[in-house]
Amino acid sequence: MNIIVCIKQVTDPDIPASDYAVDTAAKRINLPDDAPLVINPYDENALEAALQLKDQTGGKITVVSLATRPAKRVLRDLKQALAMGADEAILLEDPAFEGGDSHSTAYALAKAIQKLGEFDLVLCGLQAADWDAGQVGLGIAENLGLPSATYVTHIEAGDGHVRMIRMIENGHEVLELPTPCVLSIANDKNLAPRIARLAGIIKAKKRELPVWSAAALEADPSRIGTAGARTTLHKLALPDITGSCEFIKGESPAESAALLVDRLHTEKII
Amino acid sequence: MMDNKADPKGILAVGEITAGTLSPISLELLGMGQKLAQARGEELSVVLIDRQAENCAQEAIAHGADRVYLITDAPADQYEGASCTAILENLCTQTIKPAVVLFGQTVTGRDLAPRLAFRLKAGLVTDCLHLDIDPDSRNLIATKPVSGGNVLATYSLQEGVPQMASLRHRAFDAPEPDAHRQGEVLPLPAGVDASAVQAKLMEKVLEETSEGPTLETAEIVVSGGRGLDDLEEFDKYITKGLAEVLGAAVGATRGAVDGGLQPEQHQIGLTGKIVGPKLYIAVGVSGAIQHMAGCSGAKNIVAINIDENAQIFRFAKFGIVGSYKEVLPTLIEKLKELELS
Repeated sequence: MNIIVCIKQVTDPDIPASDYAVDTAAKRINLPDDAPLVINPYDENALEAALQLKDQTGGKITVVSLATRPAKRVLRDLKQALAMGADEAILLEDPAFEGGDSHSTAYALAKAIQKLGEFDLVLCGLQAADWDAGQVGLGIAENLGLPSATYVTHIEAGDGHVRMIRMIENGHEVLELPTPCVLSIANDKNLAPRIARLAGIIKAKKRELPVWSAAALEADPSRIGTAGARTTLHKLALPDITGSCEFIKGESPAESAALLVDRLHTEKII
Repeated sequence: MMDNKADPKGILAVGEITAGTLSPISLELLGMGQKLAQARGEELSVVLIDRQAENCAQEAIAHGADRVYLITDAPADQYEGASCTAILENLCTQTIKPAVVLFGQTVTGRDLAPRLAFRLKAGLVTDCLHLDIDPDSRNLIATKPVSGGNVLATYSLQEGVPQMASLRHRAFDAPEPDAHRQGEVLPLPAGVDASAVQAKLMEKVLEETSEGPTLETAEIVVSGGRGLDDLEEFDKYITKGLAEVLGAAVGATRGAVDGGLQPEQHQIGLTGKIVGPKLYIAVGVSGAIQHMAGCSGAKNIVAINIDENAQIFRFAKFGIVGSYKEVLPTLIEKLKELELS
């Protein structure tokens, strides 16, 4: 199978809430300079799903990322994907991509996918841990006029189609879609990303990766970056979390537990 | 049918039916929709795509809908993304031209809203906590949590196309039903045939529901996080322990799901289920903001964690610092005694 995986770089979602600050005038989220940057967790699941398909059926994996930060940092993620087993990696970088939303991003990624030529599958993460929109996978499909599915946790290759498990509220569906198609991948214990081997890391380090500009994509300037956005950010604020936890402290853990039950009972919570 | 050249007008809510009635989020959507409709001085419509849509029309009117569109002849028996998108595209471009389209942030809403937004080239803000109408421009203003809930972002949306948003569970209270409210019920043809269906449904597997109440409606939820050692421990202390004695639904953090302690259906949080029980007991849960996004609607949070600095205690009403292995056996025993007394 010929698979394209879209990945995005985000700030590590596990950094403490206290690291977040907001510049209201500039409408910007400020984070410590040393806050770690990682591949968006759902995108790692998507990459792992692609690698598992490649393990089973062979084929080729191309990873694409649209840079929203200095390219050097994003190249590191692409090399990580290569070290894990992807075959090609392409960075989309252009100041014209800045200020975009899901519409502009999905359009730019769709143009890059078109430029790559033939493929069977495009895999994206369900949503990115920065803006939490969850739209780009479906947007790529709409831009390319392809079938799509979301909440996918398992994929089986077929002849001219793929069969998949899609999570729903109280269970799951088994669906078939014709290929090529675009799937948004959710997390599942079987999609935990593999660890890159040292040989792969060394090999990836030496690779020169192609960087495509908006012009190279033959992108319509009115559909990328701020110009292509359909939403405008007006305000950023920090949420108001006011904790006032009453700690129950007995002489022993067992006594604490007993006190807690009494407390919950007198408060009529149970 | 309306004049196609007319300005976009009115609020359209896309409702969902579960087990023969409007889903809780659909009722919340009607409450929010009515607030927005009043602010714009317009009407609130709801569209129901379901074989049994007719049975829910009065319920929708009682909860605030001025008009109910019933589509009972969709080509797929249940939700299918491509064909539902085509149905709503027709509805939004030919039958009515809504100014605002609202969805619930459900598995269906998360799939359908972006498809329609891209089809209509319309702006969409997903997972909103607040929606408002700007009094000057009469445009939609949408606020949602970003960065896993660490920051709140407020957006405005492109004019001239429907302004779209999906609403998070329990972000808005469902209105009290008024059985005397009057509204219009309009059956409409789907206007698309089987060729619009792209996904072939091979099998649908529903989880056993005999294990206890469902997460979304449970009065009590007990959830476990990465602090629990393994599957056996989770089962012993949470599922067959605390949750069973309390008759509670079982939840888990993303970390616990990724670690294989629970299936994904039990995941509570930004990308999982949103719960709002009377009592939420978090065991070995660190309190990552992404998880708290799913349970911040709980009336009372109780945390049991070995780390006194765990963020969960910032959200909790009551807390015990200690190992679940030492705290839970007595907790379970005392609760059993309470039940018998």
